[in-house]
Amino acid sequence: MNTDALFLAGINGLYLLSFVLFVLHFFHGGEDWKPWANRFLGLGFLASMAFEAVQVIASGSLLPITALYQALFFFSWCMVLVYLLMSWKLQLDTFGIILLPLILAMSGTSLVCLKQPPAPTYSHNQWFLVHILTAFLAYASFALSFVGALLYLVQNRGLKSKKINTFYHKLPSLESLESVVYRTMVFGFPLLTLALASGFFWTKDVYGVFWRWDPKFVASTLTWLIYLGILYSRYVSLVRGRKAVMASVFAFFCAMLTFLGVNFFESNVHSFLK
Amino acid sequence: MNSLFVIGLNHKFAPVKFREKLAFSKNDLPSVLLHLRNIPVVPESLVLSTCNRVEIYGVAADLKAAREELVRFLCFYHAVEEEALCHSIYFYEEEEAVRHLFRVASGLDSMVVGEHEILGQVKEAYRLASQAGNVKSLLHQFFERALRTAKRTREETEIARGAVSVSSVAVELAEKIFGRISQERILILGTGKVGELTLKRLMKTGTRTVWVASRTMSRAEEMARKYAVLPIPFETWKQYLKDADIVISSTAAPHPIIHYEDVKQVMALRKHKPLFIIDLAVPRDAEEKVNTLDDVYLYNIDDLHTVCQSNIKFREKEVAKCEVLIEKQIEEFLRWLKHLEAAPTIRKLQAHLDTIIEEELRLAAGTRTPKELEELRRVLSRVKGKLLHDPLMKLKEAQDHGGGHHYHEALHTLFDLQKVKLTDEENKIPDREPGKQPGSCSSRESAG
Repeated sequence: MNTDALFLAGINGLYLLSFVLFVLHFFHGGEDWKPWANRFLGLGFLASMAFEAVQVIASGSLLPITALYQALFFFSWCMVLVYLLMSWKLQLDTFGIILLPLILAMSGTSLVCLKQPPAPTYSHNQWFLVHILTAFLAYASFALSFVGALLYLVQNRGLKSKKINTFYHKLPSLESLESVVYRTMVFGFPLLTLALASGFFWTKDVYGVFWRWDPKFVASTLTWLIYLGILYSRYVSLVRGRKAVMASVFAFFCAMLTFLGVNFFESNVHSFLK
Repeated sequence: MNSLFVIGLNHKFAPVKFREKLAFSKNDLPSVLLHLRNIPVVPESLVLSTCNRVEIYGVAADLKAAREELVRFLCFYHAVEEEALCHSIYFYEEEEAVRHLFRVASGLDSMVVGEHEILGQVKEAYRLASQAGNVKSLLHQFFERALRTAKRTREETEIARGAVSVSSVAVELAEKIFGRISQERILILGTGKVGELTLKRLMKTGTRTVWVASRTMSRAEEMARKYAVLPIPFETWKQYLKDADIVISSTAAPHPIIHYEDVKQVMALRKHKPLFIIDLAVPRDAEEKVNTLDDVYLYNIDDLHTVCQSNIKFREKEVAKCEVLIEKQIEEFLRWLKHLEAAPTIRKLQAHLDTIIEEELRLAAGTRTPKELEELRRVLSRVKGKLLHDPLMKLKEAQDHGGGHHYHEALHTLFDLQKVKLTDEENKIPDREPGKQPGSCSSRESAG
């Protein structure tokens, strides 16, 4: 096992520990677990940052995201970053039980795919940098929004079916969860817009055109339109409640399909898989 | 040495008929406390009288005599037969009394486990007895620790989580839907008792816009006056459904009045802003199908009762955790009590050595400067401290394991401590174990 794998395994271990503590806090009560869960998550975050820094120095590139494992790992780091940022303003105490498995899925897969060779690198100008950073942060915000939506649906189901269990007691109110779903989307949407715009400019620089009929181009534009639709309908109070939350779940699946799924169909500038 | 005790009866051992006979009203308490203060065998006392329990906590050197005196007092005060009283009362002393109060204050001995009213009642009883001068250092420490323990059980376990009455469950559910209730608007249909109680609880959370509709307009107006809310004609209530967030319905209508189709239309107009319908009426006011609509939450009286039961079960699961916490607190308090027994011997020994030091210093004073004397005093104090350290630690250890009295006797004989007289200041009971931080529950809090 090389150093990278060891490092990644250590980070995964920290996230796993944090997850276990979040679960203990959620199901067994007691305030003692929560600060430790957050501490291990923070430690994992710092370790990831150190890992990224090593990658940057080793590759000599500001964004060493050429292989799938690097993309997934960077995404998991962005998710923790957005979570830590958002938990300053929003009530996210219970989010760990769903967010951590998502983070673990990403960083765990990156450990499994470590051997995969990197894709050819493309010209790294400032558009490329902005494109990658904003796209990953936008998706990370949408991931948090997705977690909020899942918790909303669980709480809603409990209230509808009148089943009083730990989820009912521990989860925040529907109002608060809906607000997290909405506000994380509001945070992510301008980032996605910037990602799209910078992507177009980068294409112009490299290929001389703004638009290419590439599955990723089409998918990300569609995802952007879906989020625009959801935010607009919320803004004009067209629809709220369960349907709006369900729409955000759908939008996140589209975003994930754009982020990872499209690569399975065709390989080109966005491919991490081939 | 004084011991703690409690004498009384509660909902487990005495029927309500007997409890109400023995209860002390708030107005009677000052005179009751005065009576108790005049019983010489009970130097400290406190009365806790609620609808579920009547208890006298106290301190006495002769527990048997204290029990007899208090039984006599209760029989005399309430004009009940001694035999009937003795049949229902309990008398706990020392550790059992400590366990009893700690459990009572934490809500474990309540009819509804974990209810919070009892904590306020214990605080109030403690405040009144302190004011009356019935509480001195030992009972003071006892109640401070009980309140601190109760606070910890509420903070560190989930014993007080979840509402357990119909009206509080309704409020809790509303908070699970709307978050902190402040701007939500309420529509009241019918003027039933439980509905009114629920409204009262909801209004405590800060909500102000309330419409009341009753088939008898005068009753709606009466309720409107009482709570400063708006009465509306009963026929018009459907118009308000669009703007209301919470509907409390308790009409005497024989058939449902809140129909699926109506609510469905209203939800479209509301753009699916959540609607919480609390149907307290029997027969029910809302069609069951209404709950199938997205963002509508319909709870009837049975549903609310089920939630109460679930919450009670949830609390009962937490009892074991509370018991563990309480046992730890009891152990700590008992250790403090035991050290208290050793305290006079320790203080006498220290005073004895201090006297010797002072005498020697006086003799040495003639040939030395004040600076040299001060230095000498410091050296002698250090010697005293070091000399006493090990024997006193051994004494405390022996005290913890129940063998302290041998050491006491030995110390008294060896140093002739009988002759040593302590000042009032030296005789005072320390508030806490040395090295322990002061507690978070102060007596000032008890005013709340």
